[in-house]
Amino acid sequence: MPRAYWRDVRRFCENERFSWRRTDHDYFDKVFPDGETAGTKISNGADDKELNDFAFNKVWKHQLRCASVEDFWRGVRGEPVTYAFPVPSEPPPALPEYLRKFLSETEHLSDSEIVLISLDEATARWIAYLSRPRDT
Amino acid sequence: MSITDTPILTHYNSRSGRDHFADVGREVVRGERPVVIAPRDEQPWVAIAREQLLSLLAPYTPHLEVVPDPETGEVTIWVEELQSLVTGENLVAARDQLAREVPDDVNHFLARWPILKHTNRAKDYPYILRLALAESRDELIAFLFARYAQASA
Repeated sequence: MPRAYWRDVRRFCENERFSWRRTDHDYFDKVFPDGETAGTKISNGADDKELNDFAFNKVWKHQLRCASVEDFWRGVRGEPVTYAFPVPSEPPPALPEYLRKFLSETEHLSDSEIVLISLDEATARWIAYLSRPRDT
Repeated sequence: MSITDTPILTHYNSRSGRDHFADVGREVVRGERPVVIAPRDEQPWVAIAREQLLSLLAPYTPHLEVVPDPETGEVTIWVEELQSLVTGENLVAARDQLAREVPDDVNHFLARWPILKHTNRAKDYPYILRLALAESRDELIAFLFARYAQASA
């Protein structure tokens, strides 16, 4: 695998149409439609400086969010790039028993309806129920 | 407990805030109690003492990786929440370079906040805000390396 220079990082950002903002450094940023971001910063005059292994790893993986180092080099060459964004893997929290009972016995929802209700929504319904004025 | 329409924090409009500026400062700083400034034609904002805000943000110490290059001896520092990367010929040089570059990185983040608040970077805001509160280079370095200072204490 060839060593990377900051000019390669610049080329990647230009090919991938990152937005560019110049201050004392060149900032390259990209916002993807699903709300994920990528971006890096290149100091003025650093283009011919080589990145050490640790820095290069941070750039291609953490800043530019490439799926692999090969994707970085593909981007440098102007070829299609695959990005790697984390996929939410945690299952939604289960409803506690008191909310399940409330939805079933008070709101008269079926089991098939209850499984579609999130913890936040169930809690909101429960709070709304408790907030209703009561007949005395 | 009864719920009333009376706000908990003291409220001022623009004019009363100006007229009672000393009172506002006293309540915020000496009383350590935020006050709300509610202009007629703008969103309300909250005045809070800097030290109090720093205290609230104390858990948000950035995660750093400090890595020497085995070949050159150069030291590279990565700041996770800021996505900042600097390299220096040794630790002191890298740290000094970081202190020079972080203000730009913080300003860049804050300038893009209207967009970033809708992205995966939103979670980084309290870390960035704490760094933004640094009033000097030494304080900025202390904020950046606070996690190491805590670990070695």
